[in-house]
This record gives sequence, structure tokens and C-alpha cells, in this order.
Amino acid sequence: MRKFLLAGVCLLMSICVQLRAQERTVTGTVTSSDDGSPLPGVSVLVKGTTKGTNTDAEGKYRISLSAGAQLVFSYVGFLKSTLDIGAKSVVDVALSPDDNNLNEVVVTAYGGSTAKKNLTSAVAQVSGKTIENLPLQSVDRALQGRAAGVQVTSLSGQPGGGINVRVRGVGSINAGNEPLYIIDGVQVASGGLSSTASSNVLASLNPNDIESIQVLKDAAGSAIYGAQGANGVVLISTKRGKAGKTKFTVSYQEGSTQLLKKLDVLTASQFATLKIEGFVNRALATNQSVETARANAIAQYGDPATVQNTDWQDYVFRTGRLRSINASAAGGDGKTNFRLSTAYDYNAGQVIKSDFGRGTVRLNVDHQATKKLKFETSIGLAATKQNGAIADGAFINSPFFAAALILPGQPVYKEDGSYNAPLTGAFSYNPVQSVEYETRLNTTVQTVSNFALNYEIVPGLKFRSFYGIDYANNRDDAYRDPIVPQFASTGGSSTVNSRYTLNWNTAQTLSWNKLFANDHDITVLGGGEYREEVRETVTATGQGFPNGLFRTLAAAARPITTTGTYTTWRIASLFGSANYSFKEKYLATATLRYDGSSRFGANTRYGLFPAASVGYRLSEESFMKGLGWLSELKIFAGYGKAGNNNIDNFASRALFGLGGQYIDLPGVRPSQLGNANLSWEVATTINAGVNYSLFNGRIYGEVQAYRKVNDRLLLSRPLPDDSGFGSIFENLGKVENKGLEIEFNHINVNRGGFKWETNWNVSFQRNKILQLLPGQDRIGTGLRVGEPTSIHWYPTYAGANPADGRSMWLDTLGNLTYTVQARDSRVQGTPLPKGFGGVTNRLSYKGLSLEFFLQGQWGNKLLNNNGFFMESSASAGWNNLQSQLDRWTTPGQITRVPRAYEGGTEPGSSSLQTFSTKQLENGGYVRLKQVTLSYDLPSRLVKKAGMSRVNLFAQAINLLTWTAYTGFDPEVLSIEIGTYPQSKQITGGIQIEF
Amino acid sequence: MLTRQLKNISLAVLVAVASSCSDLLNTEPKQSVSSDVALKDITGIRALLISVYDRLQPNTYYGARIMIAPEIMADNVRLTNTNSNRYFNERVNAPSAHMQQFWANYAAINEANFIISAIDGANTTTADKAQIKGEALFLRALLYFDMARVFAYEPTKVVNGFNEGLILRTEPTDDVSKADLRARSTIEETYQFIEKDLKDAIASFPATGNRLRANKAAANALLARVYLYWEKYADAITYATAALDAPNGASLVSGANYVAAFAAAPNPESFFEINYVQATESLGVNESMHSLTTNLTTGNWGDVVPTNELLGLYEATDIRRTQGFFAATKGGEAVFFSRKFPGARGPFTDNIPVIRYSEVLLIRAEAYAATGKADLALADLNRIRTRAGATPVAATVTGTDLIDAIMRERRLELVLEGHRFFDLKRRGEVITKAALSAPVPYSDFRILAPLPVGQIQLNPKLKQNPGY
Repeated sequence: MRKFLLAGVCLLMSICVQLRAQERTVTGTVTSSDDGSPLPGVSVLVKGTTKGTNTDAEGKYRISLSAGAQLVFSYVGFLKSTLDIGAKSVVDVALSPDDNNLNEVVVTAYGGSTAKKNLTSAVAQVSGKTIENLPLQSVDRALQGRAAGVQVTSLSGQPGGGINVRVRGVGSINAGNEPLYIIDGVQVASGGLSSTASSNVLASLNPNDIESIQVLKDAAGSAIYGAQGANGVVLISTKRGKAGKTKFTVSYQEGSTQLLKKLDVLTASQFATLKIEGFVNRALATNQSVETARANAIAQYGDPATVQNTDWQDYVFRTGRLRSINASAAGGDGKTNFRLSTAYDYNAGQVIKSDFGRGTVRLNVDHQATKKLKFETSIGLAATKQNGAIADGAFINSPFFAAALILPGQPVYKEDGSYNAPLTGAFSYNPVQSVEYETRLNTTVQTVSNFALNYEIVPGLKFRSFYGIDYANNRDDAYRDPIVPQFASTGGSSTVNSRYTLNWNTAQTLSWNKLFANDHDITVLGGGEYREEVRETVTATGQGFPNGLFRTLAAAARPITTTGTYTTWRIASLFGSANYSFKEKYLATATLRYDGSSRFGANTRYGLFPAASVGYRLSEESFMKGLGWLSELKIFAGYGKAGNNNIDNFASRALFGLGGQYIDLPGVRPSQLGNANLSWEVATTINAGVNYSLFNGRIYGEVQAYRKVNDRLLLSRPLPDDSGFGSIFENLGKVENKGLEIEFNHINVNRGGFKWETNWNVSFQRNKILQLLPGQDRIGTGLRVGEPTSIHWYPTYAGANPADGRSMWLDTLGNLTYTVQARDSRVQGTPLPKGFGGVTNRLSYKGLSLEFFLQGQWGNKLLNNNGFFMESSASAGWNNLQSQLDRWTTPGQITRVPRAYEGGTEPGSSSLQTFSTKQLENGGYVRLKQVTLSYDLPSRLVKKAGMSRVNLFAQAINLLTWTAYTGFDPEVLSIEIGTYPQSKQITGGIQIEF
Repeated sequence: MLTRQLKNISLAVLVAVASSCSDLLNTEPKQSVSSDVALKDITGIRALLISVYDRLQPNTYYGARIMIAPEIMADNVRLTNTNSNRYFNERVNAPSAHMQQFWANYAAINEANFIISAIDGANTTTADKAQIKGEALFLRALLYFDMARVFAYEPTKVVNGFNEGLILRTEPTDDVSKADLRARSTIEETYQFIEKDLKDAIASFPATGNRLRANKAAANALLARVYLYWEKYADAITYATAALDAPNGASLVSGANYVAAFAAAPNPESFFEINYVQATESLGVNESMHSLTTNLTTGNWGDVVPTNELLGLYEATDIRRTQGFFAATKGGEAVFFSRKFPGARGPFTDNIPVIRYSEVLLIRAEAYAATGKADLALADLNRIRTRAGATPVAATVTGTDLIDAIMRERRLELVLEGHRFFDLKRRGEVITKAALSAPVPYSDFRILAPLPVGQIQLNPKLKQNPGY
């Protein structure tokens, strides 16, 4: 009663005060202190009240207040400013950009966001600014070396080629390891779309449309995505319009694409010399005529004195071109904001005829219909066209594989100018001819679009209804012209592979946020989600074409095959999360998800995925406030479980599948034994970290440590072959990944307009199999308890025997041997790096800026499988590397290269072409990934011309690489075998804003 | 008010999502069907039988390996100097360069077991059941016999008492519980099992049948071959005769038609041959017999050619030499290529004969010779020789000389049809050839193929072959 009374008195008094106060109006303009441009949409609040307004499109505001009041100006990305108004009636404010990285807004699951300082889970970020104007064909490449804990490896140098992204190591052995990609809330279908050339599902997104990329690395962040969260979640947000005058941006860049390096192959004369040696050595060892052997060698490979040399690499590789044109318009009146952008990218690859072209259009619109109702939509359309090269691999008709291996004594063209085909030797295709006459075209039309409705039921309580679609129509055209001798027998063939992917998801969420007693900030989110994916392909092949002018299936004389595939899966979920923050000092988050997936066995269809995390911002404590040098210090930790459901859509069912055909009748056969208990893999993560910012943000960063145990891994438990089935998938294995991630940023100089900033990130990772099949410590040779999920299992190579030049290996006892057995193999390192990272240096002075970015990895071994072919002492029917000139020739000679021996297998020896540590190489490298020099024309000049910004830039990608690896490039997953080599790109361009 | 509204909405969402969840998650594959419905109808059983035939076709089995490996592991063929590295280790009888790929036959055997266990209750005529059952039994016997030849000694030629045969499975694996670990039966048991399957098949088949599918004459012929390996010569003679005399069966073509017969489908001499449809089943430029053994099409590997020793055994008039091979140049080397796989069924596509009339004649000749019936043996042998335009073997040749003449004739007649290594093995003979620095005696461990190492590790009851 007394309290009530007191409150009543207070109320009365406040009314009295208000009644007595003099109301007056203040106006002004809010600008950015950076460039003086007006800031629309700035929140202007009378301090201590709920009274406020926003600036309009010109940055102007108008507010009425009483004398002595203070105004608080706040805007995302800028420091909050509180001003005494006094008696002034016009107050112009210049807000300073917030350089403190910890105030950055981080996008979180289901349309939420939070300041980085309030995060308690592991999130890596790359802002759109960093990757703007980079000639990237797909945005996932932007993460390479820029996000701690995220390892990115190109699978192919093919323009638009595939990429391998691993968040905090390899957690699964047989299920997928790709993270879940979400573009503006749309969960996109994973994996490449095409089969003829290496391709990438994210290649449809224009990198210049990206606002930010966040990678949710630990369960505390990703468990809300339940059975899809275990491999991490990549949230990609595209740029949206902001209220203000419509801003136009146009950019253009042009450049070249070059091969990183050529292989040093033998000349025809050197090769012929080695061949004679090999033939003679064989004749001596098998008691045959040396003279005949020499004559045979010369008959086949030419006389070293006269044979003409052709370096086929010069014909297959080229300097490609690169062009990118971007245009965008963004703006709005605050009620309706939009951003419209379009781009065209073209990249002619460094291998003849391979290229990648992409056109994109994106329209993002936000409309505030009423005070409570807001619509958002993002429409993204993309068309890509890729003249692919052949798939990566040891194909004799692969131009980039064959170029170095074709016998060098053969010219590309005959004297009459026609193609020299077929060639002799194992590499019988003339790749210049077959590439010219073949078609390997991949076209994709894709949309990733969404629509959301937001309704504020009461202040603080919001309902959001979200619908997203990812639809792609993709087609491969492969045509083989009968003019190529190898295709003449079929009369040419054409294969069309048409496929579509329909993937959609919807989420209905309710969120509620309230600040209690000024100190207790609570946010609760709950909702349901549903996703369905359908993939269907139709393939048809025809043979017998009149000539290369007729390439469509309609012209085929004989229909050969028609096949198709269909697959689908669905997932339905309920989820919730709660965040609590006390005075922004003590932080806590909990999430829970309940998933049901069609992929899993009847007994194990549903699963629960919980996670929780806490944080403590020590810097908010009064006893820390005294430390002037400490701007921010937070410790945080999280624990949770997320699932990995990336298994085959029907892996749990007992199935009869297609069983080939015989005498034109179709067959069926048992394809799979059922497992009603098949279930998702579970990743349990513990994560702990420290966030720091010192000396007013001059030094800032983060250190995190984690341990992630993936349990119930799907393993194919081998069944005895005599049962008719090789194996059955069961949830049996366990893998541990642990690591340390360090982000360290320092502003070295910031004086007189000159700024030099350095950003480091380093990740250390260890991967270990903890458990395989019950009672067994290994599966096959590649999976062993206590070893990483990926190992190299080979015998040790011991070089050439100085006495006779024959290859030697070490046997199980460590003794030298000429004959290797399966038992002589052992673990010879892992292709998984021990660590990786990147360092960026950004120097700017006035409008001039220079950025250079180094990226690398260490501690891994690669199998140089190209070397397996090309380091064989010229013993086979293909060309070798210059290194083979070091072959053994005289007794006593110490060399790793055995003597030439035609055929490669000396009597009583294993073939000198035997997989061993001979081909294993250190895969570590450091690469100058990017150098960008850019110059903003002085704004006085620019303004005169009616523009707001003109920027000229030049950049180089993959300019230099330091590595001990001898193949084309160390950026391969584990084995380099006929991989489309990586490229170096140099471009220049201009960006204009007005 | 607020809380009630919140409650109502969340309840509605929960109910909507949860109630429809079970329906929402139902998906059905389209290329596959659940196993409980697959064999309900005879059409499913027929399609499963097609799959067993399909399993014979890959290059790792009848498509190429069983035709080339036994020839190159013995002395009939060699690799050209420039080659694609295929059969590189088999050429020198390197350890594990054998035909252990045939262990995969168990997948086809399991399918045959599904058919044999389901056929009696199937919704079709008795005659149809008997035909399907006969085919499944024949195929199961063929699959087991090819494995027995590779993984085990013949019952009469056991080395050091090692008489392990094969794991014999007769029931289909329709549940993971049935995929139990089993030990190998003895060789004797294995042969008895194969013998019974073939006898049951013979009893089940109608008198005549399609020679592109399993049939009665083929079952008789295969059983004669089994008895020859088993050295049960009287039985071999009986079943060989039954095959040779079968109505509307295979027959011996004339010498003039000898080469052309290999381009016919089926070869008039085939009791059973595997059909290949170019559009769907061609093994292509990489793995087909056509590519591996000839240079007739651009891009062919042309790796495998007869040894000079074999060529030297033909008489100058022998059409198998004059027409069966043709001279060519491969990588600067003068060689002879075979005409047995001319790409008759389309680019890189030929049918593969499994058992031919002339082989059965030679089986009977050998069985006669081994049982002292030299005159009957010579009659069969000389039918082959006379047909080829070669001088008949004189009546004075008897005993081991006659056996040697029959063995030599098998080389001349059956080259590139996958017999030579098995012939040497069943007779316990030494392998000698130019490619070897030292001969491989019959007692050498390399005569038997290794069982897959993974299987030995998985199954403690499974005994590995000696030496591996």
C-alpha cells in the first residue's frame, strides 16, 4: 500500500513537471565523420525517455524536447553520441565510425542478431567489404585464410570449380563433412550441380552482393540447426537497401588468368636417350640383343640427335581473360528500402576452351506496411555457363593431365596443318584436337530467393513467417566429334544430362525481447521449420552423327541409353532459444532443437539437440574499469550437441535396386540390407574462449579452444563377402577434433591519415579416430584408431641401390628390399594440415590503400600422383620430368631415381612404379593470395563531376607461392592426380559511386 | 492477455507441426523398391535372374579377366612392348596378380539363392519355374566353379594337404543376421555341391533352350568340364557326350567358317555364350576384349598378343594361324593380333563364349585318352585338327604323348578363351615362358589366388591360402 502510494506521488509529480516544462523543436543533420555523407535512419532519442525519431533520407531530423534535455544519436556501425542541447535549436552531428570490432553486429540464427561483445559461441566472420571486387567465382573461397578454424581447399583450378570447406576439422568418415549453407535464411542444397566439370553450388552468388559471412563453428551456435548443424553453419547475408538517396555503384574490372607453373618435362631428345638406356638395360638383364634393343628404342621414340621436341603444355595452357561488370542501386524512403544489383562475370581459364560466365540479378526489398507489419524479400537469379574441361583425374584425354605426359617427339599439327592424331604411346589423344572438337558445356539457371513477413504483435513480441526456395535447373552437354579418331568408331556421341534440384524451407518463429529493471535483458525465440529437397536427373546418349555441325541428340543415328535418378529427403523440426544478459556483464544462452528426418531408420527418426553457453565480461566489472588500457575482456564457454544427417537419402531402408540388363531385359537386385536403427551422427562440442580489446581497440582479437567429439559415426561394418553384401551402415565410430584458434589484430600506425593494420588468424587442429568397429582398431588400411581420419599408407622408399640402380624399399623389419609386399606399408603422415591461417596487412593513406594477404598451411603430406607417372625413369610409354635425368647410371652413384628399365619391372623386383614415400611430399605452403592496390580519387574532384566516390584498383591473386611441393600446386586435398591446376590472376578496375 | 496470446499461437504452431510430422517425413525412393515387395511377383524373380547374368559381364569377370588372365599367367599370350599396364603383373605371375576378383561372385550367388528359394512359391507355370530354377542352378554352379578353380586346388591335386574349398551358401541373405561368419568347405564338398547343382539343373531344364541363356546342353558341357578337373573321366565322357549329342545344340563349324563363327551371335559352337548389347553393355575402349586384343579400332590398347612359342606350334596350313591371327605393327613392334573379338556386336563389343563345342570335344578326347581309349580320343582330337586344316595326329600316338597332343591342341584351339593356366594347374604342371626369369612350379604358392585380406581379418574362421 505504501509502495503504491509512493508510486502515485511520483506519477503526479512527473505530470506536474511535464506540465510546467517548455516544449520546443530542435532540427539538424546527422552525417558521417568519415566522409561527411548524411546518415539516414539514425535513431535520435531524448535521453531518459522513450521519445525519439529517425533521420530521413537526407540525414535530417526534427524533434521536440524540453530545455536541458540531452539527445542520444545511435546508428549501427557508429559510436553512440550523447549531446547537451542547451538552448540550441539547430544541432548538426557528425558520428564517428565505430572501429571497435566488438561492437560489430553478428547475424545469428533465424533472422536474429547480436553485438559481437555479447556473443558466447564460436563465430567466424568475413565482412562483404573484405571480398568486394575480388574476382571470386564463388563466395566460399572468401573464407580461405580469413576465418579461423575454417579450412578451405580448392578442388580444381577450373573457373567456377568446386571447393572443400571444413569447419573445425573432419568430423565424419562416411557422412558428408560440408557445412550447412544458409543464404538469407534459405538452406541451400549442398554439393556441386554438374558432373562434367568441377562445379560449385555457391557459384551462383555474386560476391559483391554479400554483406557478411558468419560461420557458426561450435554447437552453442549451430545446435539450433539440429541434425544439420554438426559440420558448422555458414550464414550468408546479402546487402540490403538503407533509407536515403538512391546510391548507384558501378564497377568494372578486367584482367588475365595464368597458370601458376609449368612442369619441367624432358625434351624429346632427353626422353629418347633415356628410352635407349631403358631398352638396353632390359636387354642386358634378359640376355637379349643390345643392338636390337637400341634399334627398337630409336624406332619407337626417335634418334636423340634428330628428334624434334614439342612441349604440349604450351598448346594446352594459355593466358586466360577475366572480366567483371557490376552495377547496383540502393536506397529507399525508410518505409520501403531496396537494393537492386546486377553483375556479369567472365573468366576464360588457363586451359584452352575452359571458361566460366555468370550473370546475376538480385533485388532485395523491405517494406514497412504498417507500424507492426513488415515484409522482406530477396530475389536472386543467376545463370551460369561453364565450358568445362574434363573432370579431374588420370584421363588420357584430359588436356591438363596429358599435356605433360604425351610423348614429346610428336608435333601437334602435321605438316599440312591438320591435327596429328591419333598419337602414339599411352596418351593417344591429341588433346588440342579433342578439346576443339568436343563440347563439355554446363549451364545452370538458379534462384535462391525468400520472402518473410514480420508482425509485431505487441512491443517486444514478434512473429516471423519465412519461406525460402533454392531451385536450380542444370544441364550438361557432352559431345564427342567423330573427327577425333578415337570417336570415329561410334560416329560421334552426344550425352545430355538434365537435372533439377528443388529445395525449399519454411520457418515460423515467435520471438520476444524484454528488458526488465534496466538490467535483465531476455530474448526468447521459438518456432518450427520444415525443409524438403528433391533432385531428379534425366540422361540420354546418342551415337552416330553426320558431322560436327549436328550436335543435338535429334541428329543421332542410334539412341544409346536413357537413364534417370530421383531422390528426396525431408526434415521437420521444432526449436527454441533463450538469451539472458545481466547488465551486459553476465551472459547466458540455451538452445534446443527437436528434429525428425526421413533419412533415418524407423526406430530412430527423431532426435533432440541441446546446447548452452555462458559469458562473463570482466571489463564491465567496476574493479576492471580503472584499467585504462583494457577496453574489453570477455571469457565465454559453451557446450552442446549437433547432428550430422548428410547420409544417403534412403540409407536406412532394405532395398532392391536396378540390376543392369541382359539380352535387352532389365534386371533388379538386392542393393542394400535395411537398418532400422540408422541415425544421425552426433557432434558434442566444448568451446571456451577469450575476447579482448586493448588500448582503445588498437589491439584486439580472440582466442578459442575446442574439443569436438563426433560420436555414432556411420561406418560401413564389413559383412563377409560371401553373404552377398559387402557391408552395412551402422552408427559405430568416434572421431575427435581439437584445436586452438587465435585471432590477433593490431593497428600499427594510425596517425596523420596514415593507417596500417594487421590481422592474423592461426588455427591449430588435431584429428584422431577414437573408435571404429567394436573390437577392431582399424578398417582396411586407411582408418586406424589413434590416427587421423585420413592417412597416407605406403611403404618407405629407399632410393636406388648404388650398386645396380634398382629401386629399393624398406620391408616390415626395416631392411632394404627389391620387392614390396602389402605388409610393408605403414602410416606415412596425413593430408590433414596441422595448422593453417592467414595474415592481412592493410595500409592506407588518404585515398590510397594497399592490402596484401598471405595464406597458408603446414604439417600435411600430399601424394604427388602425377609424379607417380612422371617420375618413372622413362620406363613407360609417356613423358617424364627433368628430375629423371638424375637416374642411376654408374655403380656407386647415390640417387633417388632408379636406372631406366623399359617396362619398369626388373627381374626379381617390384615395378619401379610402386606407390611409396617416393611420391609423398610435404604439402605445406605459404601463398601471397591477394595484393590489392586501390586509390580513391580526391573527393573534391569527384564531387565536381557529380559523383560521390571514384576508386581505381589493381589486384593480383595467387601471385607467389612458397612450397617444397614439386607438382603443379599444393592446394589439393590429399592426392594430385590430373587436377586442373590453379591459376594466378591479375586484374585492374574502377568503381564509381554516385 | 499477452501470455494467453503467446500461448495460443505457440500451441497452434506446435500442433500444426507435430501432428503432420509423420506424414511430412514419408519419402519413397523411385529407382529402388523395398525388399519385401520386390520378389512378390514372378516378374521380380525374372528381373533378379537378369541381374545374375548381368553380373557375368563386367571386365573383371567374363568381360575380359577370365579370358586373358589364365592365358597371360600361363604361356599362351604376352604383352606388347608398349602397353597400357594392364595385366602387367599377371604377365610375370607376381604374387597376388591372379583372379581374386572372382571372390565378388558371392553377390551373384546370393541373388541366385534368392531365386532358388523363392521360385517354388512363385505365381507362374510349372514349366516356367523349372526353366528359371535350372538357369539359377546352372549360374550358381558356374559362379562357384570359377571361384574353385582360382581359390582352391583340384580335389586330386592337393598340395601339402591343403584341401580348403569355398564357403558354400545356399540360403539368401535377406537380413543382416544371416550374414554370419562361416568357414570354407573342403574341395571335395565344393565339387560335390557344384556337381549336384548341375545335375539338378539338367533335370530341371527342358531339352532345348536359348544358347544366350543357361540351358540343358550347357549344363551337361559344364559338368563334363567339372568332371575333367575332378579326374572323373567316365563321368566326363558321359556328360560331354550328352552335350555333344544334344538336339538343336551347338555344332562344329567348317574350317572356312571358323573365323566368321566368332562374329556370329551366338557362335554356332557355343553351348552358352554371354551376350553384349553395344548400347548398354559395351566395355568400351578401356576394358573390352576388342580393345585389349586387337588394333582394329583407333584408340584400342592392343596390349595382348600370342607368344612366339604359341605361334610356332601352329602348322603353316592351320586356318587358326592363317586366318585366326593377322600381322600388325604395335609401337614399332611386329605382332599378331587375334580375330576372335572383332567388335562384331558394335564398337568395342563382342559376345563372350563360355563353353564351346570344340572344347567339349577336347574334354572327351582327354577323358578317353586318360582311360586308355586312344582310338576314340584320336577321333575327337582329329575332328578338331582336320577342321582347322592341320595334319591329323597319327594313330600311333598313345599314352602321355596323346595327352600331350590334346593339351597342345587345347592351346591352339582355345587361345584367348581363358583355359591355359587352369589346364596347367589341374594337371599339376610347371609354368615356363619367356617373360619369367624362373619357371613357376605347381607347388608354388602363386598358383592359388589370395583370399581378400579384409575377409581374412573379418572372419577368423576363414583360412587364407598358403603363402599369403
